[in-house]
Amino acid sequence: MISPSILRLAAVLALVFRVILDVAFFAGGSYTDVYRAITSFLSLAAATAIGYLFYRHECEGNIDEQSGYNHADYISRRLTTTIYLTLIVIIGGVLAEVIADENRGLPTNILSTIIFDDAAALIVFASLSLFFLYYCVTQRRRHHKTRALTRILLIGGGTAFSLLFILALFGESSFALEFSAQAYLLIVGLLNIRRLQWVDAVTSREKRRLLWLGATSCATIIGVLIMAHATDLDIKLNFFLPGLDFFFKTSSTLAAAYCARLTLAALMALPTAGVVDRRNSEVDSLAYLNRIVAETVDFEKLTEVVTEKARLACNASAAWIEMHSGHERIVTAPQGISYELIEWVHINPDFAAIVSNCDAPCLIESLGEHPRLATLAKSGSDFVRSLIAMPLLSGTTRIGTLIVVKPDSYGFEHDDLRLLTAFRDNVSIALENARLLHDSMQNERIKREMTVARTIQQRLLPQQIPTIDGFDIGALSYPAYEVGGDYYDILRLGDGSLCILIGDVSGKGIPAAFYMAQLKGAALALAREVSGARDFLSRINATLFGNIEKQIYITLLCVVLRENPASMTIARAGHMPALFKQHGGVSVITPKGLGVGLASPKLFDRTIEEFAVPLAPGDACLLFTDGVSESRNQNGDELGYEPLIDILRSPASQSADAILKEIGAAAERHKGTAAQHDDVTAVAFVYRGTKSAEQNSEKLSIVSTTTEFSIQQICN
Amino acid sequence: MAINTKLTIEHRPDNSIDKLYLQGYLDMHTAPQLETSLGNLVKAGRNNIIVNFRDLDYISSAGLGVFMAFIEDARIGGGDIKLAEMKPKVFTVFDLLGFPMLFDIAESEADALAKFTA
Repeated sequence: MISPSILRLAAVLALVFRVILDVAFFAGGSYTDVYRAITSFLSLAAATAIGYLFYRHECEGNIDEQSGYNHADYISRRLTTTIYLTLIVIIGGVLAEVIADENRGLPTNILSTIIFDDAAALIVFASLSLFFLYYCVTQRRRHHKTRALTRILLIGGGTAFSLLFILALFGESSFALEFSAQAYLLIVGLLNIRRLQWVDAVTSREKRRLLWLGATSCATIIGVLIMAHATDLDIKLNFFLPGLDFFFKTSSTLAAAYCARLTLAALMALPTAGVVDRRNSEVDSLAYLNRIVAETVDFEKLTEVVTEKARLACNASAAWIEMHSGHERIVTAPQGISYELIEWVHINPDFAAIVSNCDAPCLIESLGEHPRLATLAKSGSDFVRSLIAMPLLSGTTRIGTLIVVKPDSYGFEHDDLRLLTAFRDNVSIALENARLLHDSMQNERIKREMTVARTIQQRLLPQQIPTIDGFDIGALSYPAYEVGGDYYDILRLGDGSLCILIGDVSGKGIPAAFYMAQLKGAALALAREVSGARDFLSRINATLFGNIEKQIYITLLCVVLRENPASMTIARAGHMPALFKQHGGVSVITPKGLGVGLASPKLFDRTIEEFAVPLAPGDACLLFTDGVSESRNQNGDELGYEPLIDILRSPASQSADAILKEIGAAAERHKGTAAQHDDVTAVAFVYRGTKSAEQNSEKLSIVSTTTEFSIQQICN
Repeated sequence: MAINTKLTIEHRPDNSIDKLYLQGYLDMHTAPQLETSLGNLVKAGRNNIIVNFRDLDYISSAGLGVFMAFIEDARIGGGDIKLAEMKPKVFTVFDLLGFPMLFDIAESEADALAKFTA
C-alpha cells in the first residue's frame, strides 16, 4: 500500500498549491476552466489523502495489548472518528453556504463556484470516511472467504457502477441505472450488517458506550445528508463529478443504517446487561479459580482468593470464611471487614446457629426482618443488612462456611445465591485438593520422623550385651510398628552382678515409645544403686508412679545373675512369667507383683515377691513379652506358652542364640500371613558353668523374701 | 474365619448402679469406646459401676489401662468400678498384672452387686 508519509506530503502539497492558486486568483488572476479543474483536482486529492490517512491511522491504533483485539472497542473508535469527520463536514458545508450567501454582491458566480468546489471536496471526504467506516466494520470478525467476497462486491460493484454513471453522462437518462445501483449496494450492505450478536456479550459499560456513539453517528450522518440536501450540494455534485452524488448517498445510507442497527442492538441488550455482566464475572471468577486451584498448594492463599472472588462476584461489601475446627470457629481471610466486626456479629448467638452452621446455602435478604437476627440489624450494625452463607465441604465433611454480606437490605438476588453455589462446588474441590496435598506432605513428614524415631529407639536397646562369666546371653526385638513399647536391657549393677530387664509399656506406637525411653532413663540412673531384682523394680515404680498417665503402666521382669555361686534372683512387676529350664524340665516362674505405675510405692512394695534360684550348668531361662506368647494367626489363635516351653526343653537349645532363633521362627510360623499386631521381644540366657561355680554350688541356699516359694512345675 | 475384632458395650442402669456389658475385643483400637462410656458415667457422677466381662473374648494392655484411668475418680466420688464374670483367659491377663490387688473382681454379677450393697 501507499506509505502514509507520501500521502501526508501529497495532502499538504495539494492544500498549499490550492491556497497559492486562490491567492493568485484574488490578486487578479482570471477564472478559467483550466484553473477550476486544477483547484478542484487539488481539493479532491487533499480530501482523499486525508480521508485515507484517517482510515489507516484508525486501523493501526486498535490493537489491545492484553486481549489482542476487542471488537466493541474497535467499533467504538471507528464511530468516534466518524462523528468527528461528519461534524467537520457539516460545519464546513454550512460555513461554505454562509460565505457564499454573504458574498453574493461580489463576482458571485466565480466565488460561489470556488466555494462549491471546496464543499464538494468536503463531501468526497465525508463519503470516503463513511465508506471506510462501513468497509471496516464489514471486514472485521469475518471468515477470510466472506471477507474477500464482501470486498469484491463492495469495491467491484461500486467501481463498476461509478464507471457506468460516467459513461451514462454521455448517453441517455440514467434513472434505471441509478435505481439498480442503489438497490445493488443496499442489498450487499444490508446483508452485511445483520451480524450483531457480539453486542449481547459485551459489558454493560461498553453497551452504553456503543448506544451513545451509534446514536450520535447516526444523527451526524443524517445531518450531513440534510445539509447536502438543504444547500443543493447533492444536485450540484453530479455536475462536478458524475456518480459522486450516488456514492455519497449510498455511503451515507449504509453507514447510517449500520449505526442505527447497532444502536438498536445496544438498546435491546441493555436490560439484560446486568445478567450478562454477572455471567461474565462468574465465568471470569470460575476460570480464575480453576487456575488458582491448579497453582495453589497453600490453604490460606486459597481461602483468600475464595473470599476475594466471592465478594467481587456478588458485588458484596465484605466476605469471610469461618473454618470449623472441632467446636472452635476460626475466622479466615476476611475481605472488606475487620476481625473485630466479625466477632461483634457473633455476639448474637443465633448468628452462629443460623449462619455459620447452616446446612444448605442460605440467603437472608433482610436481617431486620429475620425473626431471630433482627436484633443485629437494630443494634446499629450498618455493615450487614443482607447476607449469603455457603457451607464449604471437603469431601463430604463440613469444614467451614463462606459468608458474604451487604450493607443494604435486599442487596442480593437469588441469582447471587445460585452463582455462589456454583462457585462453592469448585471451591470445595480446591479445598479438598489443598487438604489432600497437605495430608500427603504431612504423611511424608511423619514417615520421615518415624524412621528417625525408630533409629533413636533402636539405640535405646543394648548395642552390646555385657558379659558375665559362665553365662551366654542373647536378645531379639522387633516392634510391630516403626516404634514400640517393648523394652529390654542388660545392665551391670553396683555389686558387679548382671541384671536383665524386660518390659512392655501398655499401648503401642509413639506414646509407648516415649514411656519406654523414660523407663530406660530411670533404669540407667538406678542401676548403680539398687541391691537386687526386687529393689530395682520397687525403685523404678517409685520413680515413675505419678509421673506417667493414669491409664499407662509398664510390666517388667527383672532377673539378676550372680556368679560364684551361680544364681539368679527374679522379681516380676505384672509381666509375663519367666520360663526356666532346670535339669531338663521347664518351670513357669511367676513371682507376685503389680505392674509399674499401677500402685503407690507402699502397695507395690508390700506385694512384690523375689525368688532366688541356684543355677547349675545347662540351666536356661527365657524371658519374653506378650507379643511372643500372644502372637496370633489368622484365626486369632494365640501361640501360648507350650511351644515356647517345648523349644526351651529341646536338647538343641544349647545356646541363647539357638533358643531365640527357634522362638523367632516359631512366632513367625504361627503368625503365618497375619499381620504382626504387637512388638516381639525375648531375652534368653544359658548357664554354661565355671570351674569355681561347680565347687560352690552345693553351698547355695534358696533365698526368698516371702514366706512362700512357688515354682510351678509344669514339666519334669 | 476372620475373628471379630469389634467391641460392643451395652449400658444397663440399675437404680444407683450402672452396668456395662462388654462383648468382643478390647484393645488399643476399641479402648476409646470404653473410655467414652466410663468417662461419661464418672463425669455424670454415676460412680457405682459394674463391668461385666461375660462376652469379652480378649483384652490388651491398652484395654486394661482404661480401668486405671477411671478407678481413682470413681473412688474419690465415693463409688467403685467392680469387674465381674471374666473368662479365665481374660482373668489371667488381669491376674498377671496384679489387678486383683487393686480391683474387686467378682465371679458373678450378683456377687459384685452384693459388694456394693454391703
